[in-house]
Amino acid sequence: MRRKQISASFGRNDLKACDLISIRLNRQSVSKDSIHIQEVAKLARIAIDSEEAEVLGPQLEKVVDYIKQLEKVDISAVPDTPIDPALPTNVLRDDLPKESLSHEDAIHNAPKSNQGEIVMPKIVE
Amino acid sequence: MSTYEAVIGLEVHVQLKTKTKMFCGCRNRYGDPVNTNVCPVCLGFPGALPVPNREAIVKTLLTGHMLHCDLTPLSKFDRKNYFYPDMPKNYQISQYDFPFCENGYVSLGKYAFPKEVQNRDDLPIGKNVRLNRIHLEEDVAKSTHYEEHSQVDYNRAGTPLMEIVTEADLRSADEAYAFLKSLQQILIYGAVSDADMEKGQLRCDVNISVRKQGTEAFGTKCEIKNMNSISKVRRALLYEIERQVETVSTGGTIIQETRRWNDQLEQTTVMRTKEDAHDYRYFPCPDLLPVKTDDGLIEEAKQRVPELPQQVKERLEKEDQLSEYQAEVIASDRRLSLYYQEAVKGSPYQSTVANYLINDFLATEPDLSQITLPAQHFATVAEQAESGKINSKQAKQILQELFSDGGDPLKIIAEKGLSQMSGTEELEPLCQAAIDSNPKSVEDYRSGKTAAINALKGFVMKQTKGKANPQVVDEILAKLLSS
Amino acid sequence: MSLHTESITSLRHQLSSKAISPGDILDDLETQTKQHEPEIHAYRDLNFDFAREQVQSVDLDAPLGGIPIAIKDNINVTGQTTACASRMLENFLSPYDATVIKKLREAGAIFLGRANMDEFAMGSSCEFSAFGPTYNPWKKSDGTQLVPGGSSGGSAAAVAGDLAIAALGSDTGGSIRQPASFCGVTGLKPTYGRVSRYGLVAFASSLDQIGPLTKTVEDAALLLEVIAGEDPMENTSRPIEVPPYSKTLSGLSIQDLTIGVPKEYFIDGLDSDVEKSIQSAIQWYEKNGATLKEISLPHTESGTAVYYIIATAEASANLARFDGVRYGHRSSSAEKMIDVYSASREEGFGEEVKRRILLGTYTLSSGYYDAYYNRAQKVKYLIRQDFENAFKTCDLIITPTAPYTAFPVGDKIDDPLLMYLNDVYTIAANLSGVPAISIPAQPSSEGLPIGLQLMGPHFAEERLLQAAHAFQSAHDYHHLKPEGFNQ
Repeated sequence: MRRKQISASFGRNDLKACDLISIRLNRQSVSKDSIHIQEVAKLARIAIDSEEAEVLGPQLEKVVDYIKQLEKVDISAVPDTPIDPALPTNVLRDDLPKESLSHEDAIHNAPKSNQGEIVMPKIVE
Repeated sequence: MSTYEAVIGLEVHVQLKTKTKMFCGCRNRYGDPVNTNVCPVCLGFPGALPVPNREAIVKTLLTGHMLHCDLTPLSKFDRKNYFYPDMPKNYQISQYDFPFCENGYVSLGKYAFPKEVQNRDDLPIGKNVRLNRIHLEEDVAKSTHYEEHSQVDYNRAGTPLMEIVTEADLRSADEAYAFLKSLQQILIYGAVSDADMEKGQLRCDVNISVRKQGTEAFGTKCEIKNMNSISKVRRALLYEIERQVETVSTGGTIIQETRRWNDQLEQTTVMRTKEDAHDYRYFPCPDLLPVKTDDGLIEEAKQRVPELPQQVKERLEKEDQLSEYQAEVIASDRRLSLYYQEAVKGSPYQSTVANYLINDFLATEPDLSQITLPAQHFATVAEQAESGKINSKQAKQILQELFSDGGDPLKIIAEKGLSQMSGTEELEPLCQAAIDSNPKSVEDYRSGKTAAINALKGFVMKQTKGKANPQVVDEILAKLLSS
Repeated sequence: MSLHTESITSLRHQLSSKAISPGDILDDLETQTKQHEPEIHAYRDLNFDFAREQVQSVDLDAPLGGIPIAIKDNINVTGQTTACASRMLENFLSPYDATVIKKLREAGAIFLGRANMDEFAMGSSCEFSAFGPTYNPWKKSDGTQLVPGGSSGGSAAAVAGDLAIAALGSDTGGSIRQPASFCGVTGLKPTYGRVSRYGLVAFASSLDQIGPLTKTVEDAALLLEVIAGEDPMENTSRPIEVPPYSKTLSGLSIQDLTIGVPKEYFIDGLDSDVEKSIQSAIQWYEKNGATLKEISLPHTESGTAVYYIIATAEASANLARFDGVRYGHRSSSAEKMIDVYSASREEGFGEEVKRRILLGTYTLSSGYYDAYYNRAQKVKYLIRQDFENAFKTCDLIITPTAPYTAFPVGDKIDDPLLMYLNDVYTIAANLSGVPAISIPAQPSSEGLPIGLQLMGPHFAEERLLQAAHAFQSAHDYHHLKPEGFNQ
């Protein structure tokens, strides 16, 4: 269970496009799981054409159908905490500087760089 | 206009003062050559893994403690997924449902408000602005935009960043200003951050809507992003509140959008209207173990709690006998209070020094970081004035000269011949001369017109070019005339 | 000489006594790879010059001094490309060593080449490499080409075909053990947290472990004791002492063992040859004094579903960094930033990788988190509990590694779900975090390798290795060679 939405506080217009998408997806899931593959691909930033979508969509639906078997598992005995109590805790690092990469190694693999910075098409805010 | 009220909430990002980044040992340092404080971890190279910086966690807990938050006993880090070129992994390690701190508040003191409104009657002094949460995350890289392309320097990527989210409790631009001022000081007092907005160490997003006074429902909000000074936040809000009220009161509708403050135009302008579909797909970061804060970390944070502004104020009132006003102004700025304390070290003239700082220094230069003067000079000038060696007008003169040109106060007094003549031996012959040269005044005085002594005093002052100590002259004249 | 066929242990003896030099081993390996690598394609990249350079400065007194090891293509080695068998990282030159590589370097190992794999470790057949599939050195009697298993198929095939002395692989749902089983070699997945993951290109962070693929259990022990241990660079690595595994291999008497046989693992769908082979292994343990106990791991059936939810969700985030910005493939057609992402990722990733990223993105997306990811985590908890309960009554669990022997190339490639069901016996060890080893058992009637899987409690690698070593010492299945690989 997630405890609390982050922005419970502001002017309440947070029903954004994301919510609309999820509502739409949810509706679809009600109508027997046709996955809106292009929406998912957009979220994952993978361009897929309609041909690919036609193959991937049904494949994913088949897998999703399969993983739905978990609905039948009785999970009532599982402690309702999002933090696994069996995990160790507090493995932390002291605030001590370590050597960084050389500047050359840092940008060597960049497809494009200029003045020591990584170059890309203009980021539109 | 007056029938509308503004509803404002802030999201404040604070860069923590640590030696290294949040999840790797690269230096957390501003201003180094581009892409030199980077490693596989903060560049998001394949296979690199994060390890949390203990110091950043302690500083976050300390902040939460100073801001009266509930500290979460068992906390964790989550991944917030979205693609952006300034974010190396295309997910940000942040905190979703178990932030380190929740709730809490910041109190607004009178002197945190802008100077020009401090004396208004309707100031909500003592108001507690509630916090929703404080969480810890990693900062993104810095991008520079050119005509055709953008360039990214990853030195800042992965530095520890604290996000403080308020409830929508603020009702005016001045309250937002006071909130940020107070918060900034607490962060500085706690050595959590240098909180320098110009260096991007404190960044602020504002959510603002307006509604009819007395109504509950929120209006449509706008977000103003990336503000880099507290006074800009205030000006942007003053503008935006007026814009929204104007729109709404003339029957228009507010469009939910992200705006930015344009300093040249002195107005907010639209940055984007259509929000991208944000579906952050938060899930617990499997690379990081949970953090049990009540296992020593909170203890460590509490040991570091500094004397906070309120406590400094109370101490200055009690121990230094400063007025409430003096104490509050000095306590409201950590650098000022440190400077003050340095200045009065061993000096009995605390109140005079406080006055000089508040009335002489701050009046001309509100930015204390501009001061290069050794603090002890204030005590020296105070000592000269209090012992009657200079008068208060001269003290002001000397201080102004010190502020503009620096130097040594005693030398200035000597060079300018500013010090008063207070010696009876020096002054008695002059007083005698005044009596001898002004028989009329002497007669008047002796016949009961005591004010006539002023003419005699004026004579002495003229002779000494104003350097004679008037009180001493008075005493000598009275003595000579009565004999 | 045929040094390439020998084990680490044997080569170390000869190196220590100066009977041979590291160069001799490389020479023999080079001859062998010249002959067989073209048909097997165990390596994504093989570089004997690079290996010979390292020999110059190697410390022959170090525990692995002079031993050439194949490294799976998803583990960073400074100065080599770490491509993860993907077009995306084809030219990614690694500027750092994974922790296991650092440790192997200090131990004197020689890095021979990059073992082929399923792209980003996503696959069970090594057919999903962007650089072409790896073939199993073992063939069907009619000559049909078989898959080596995956995703560490290159590592397993290299060891099985004597193209490497030993190899490192990674195991997220069986990716070390299943190929070990298909190729007839020894493969160990350590306890989650036993070996540092720093420098292993993450697939599913909460399940991934690096482990050895070797010719013998003894070699696996040798490698494990070098690579195991807490790492300050890795948050989930554990500060638990590493025993000298290779020296304690004989320190167990089978009579003291209670071996659990999970009833859920011996069901329909299990190939009869495999069942026969494993039953005979179980009988061997019993004959040698072990107590057998039927146990139940009630949530076994859910394992695959849990795995594909958790693994793909984590992968969808882990692979987000491959965006063509700081490194990796950037689409030449991309003019806008959004295209740099979507076109580079479309061009750089293969089908299976895309499929899994999309599945993970979907199950994490708004409105589905609780139904899929959160629920899967809860069932994962139950699976771990199954094991904890089981290990209260037994010391080890014995199962088949895979439900069948290596399948023909191309057999399952078009049906993702069928491919996913491959991992049914191996997944549980990743979900519960326990260590598991696969060793060759009695081959199929057709002579194909069959893997026997032993699982132990958390951090009980020592017991696991001892029990496996005992079996191996009494059998010679691990010495069997595919046809054409007889010397």
